[in-house]
Amino acid sequence: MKKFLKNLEEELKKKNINDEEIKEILADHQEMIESAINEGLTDEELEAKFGNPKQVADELSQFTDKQGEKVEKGNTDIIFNGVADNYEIEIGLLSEDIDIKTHDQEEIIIKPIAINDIDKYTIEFNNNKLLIKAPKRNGTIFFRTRNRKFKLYLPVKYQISHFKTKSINGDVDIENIKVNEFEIGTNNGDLKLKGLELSQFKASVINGDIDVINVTCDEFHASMISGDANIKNLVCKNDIFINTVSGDVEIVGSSCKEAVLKTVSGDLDGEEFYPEALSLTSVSGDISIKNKDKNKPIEIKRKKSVSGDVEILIG
Amino acid sequence: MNSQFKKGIIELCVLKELVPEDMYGYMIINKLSEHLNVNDNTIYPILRRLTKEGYFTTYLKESSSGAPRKYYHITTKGFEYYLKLRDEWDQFIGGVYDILNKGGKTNEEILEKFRRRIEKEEHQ
Repeated sequence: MKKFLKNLEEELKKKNINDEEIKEILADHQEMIESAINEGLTDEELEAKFGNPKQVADELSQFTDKQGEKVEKGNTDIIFNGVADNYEIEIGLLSEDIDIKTHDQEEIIIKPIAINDIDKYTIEFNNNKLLIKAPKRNGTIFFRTRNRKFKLYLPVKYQISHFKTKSINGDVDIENIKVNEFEIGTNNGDLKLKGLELSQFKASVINGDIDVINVTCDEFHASMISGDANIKNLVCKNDIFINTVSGDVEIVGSSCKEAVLKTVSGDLDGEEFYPEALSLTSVSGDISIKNKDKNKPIEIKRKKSVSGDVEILIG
Repeated sequence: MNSQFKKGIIELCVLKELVPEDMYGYMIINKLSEHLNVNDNTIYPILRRLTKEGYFTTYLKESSSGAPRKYYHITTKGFEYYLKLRDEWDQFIGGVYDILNKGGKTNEEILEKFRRRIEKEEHQ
């Protein structure tokens, strides 16, 4: 039966199945063949029970991860036409990463990468709303294949009225979109948001970090547990609200009306950060801001803290 | 038999075998091949696929001969899937029998009717 295992290995390699999977499949067969031999099966009986290695490999290759780049090519694009202004987007994923960019075309293009069970996802565009939802997974086992990802290309010319994304472990990268109400949340994934024009901004993470670069909005809400927020060039017409437990906040080159920080032990460090007013509620978290412009005073509106301080250095 | 169709039925049987107890791979092959003409070629890929899809979980357990064996355990999701497949199968096979049993349940009954029809045609 050694020959069977050897042939099976060859057939699996021919199918370009990845090494990890081959190892496991061979170990499973070794075990099953040993069980059969222990029961005293003759060679003939063994052959009947285990049959043809090529057939096993053929079957397995239909749903098994392949070596390297083949995984990337596994999925085909999903395209939606008929997008109009003020459309909505709702995304609910588990461990898949999300990459969102704009393009000059009129349609929405979705490129699933290494999602081998794409038919289990809900992906639809109805009534001017795009919906992407992961299938419900059983809690006890959870297969996270490497690099599962959705890449989205959205038409640059259409405004999005409501954008809502939730993810458990996936990272989210978003660039250059225009949205009225923007809502994003993840537990362990990181958020990278770049070049967004929004009216409402709401982001929440547990362990993941939030990176915000070149964003304009009317109102900004961010909440973290232990993740950090890095904010660069944020122009907020009204107020910035940040809630954090132990995550730190860094704000560079940004402005707003009032900046409200509620924190347990997380600090806020600002540089060239010009809120008109500041509010701090903290246990031990501090606010420290270093600015150059003397003509933009910052009013400390409220400070309620056990041991936290507010320090503003100008010049 | 159409292989896709056959695969679906064997999938249903594999699920059913695992409802009352956890089993190792060779044991499942053995149990099913008592009733159906199947072997590793058909069963192992099904075990692997259903595991990937979260219908089964696996764990290793020592055997009497020493080497640990991989046991397959059906999940709640797997059981729900089994119920769904079973339903589909019952409906399908019910429909098939409705067709086959029209005009008599045994081959003798149907043969008798067929013979009468042929005779009638010959007389015309």
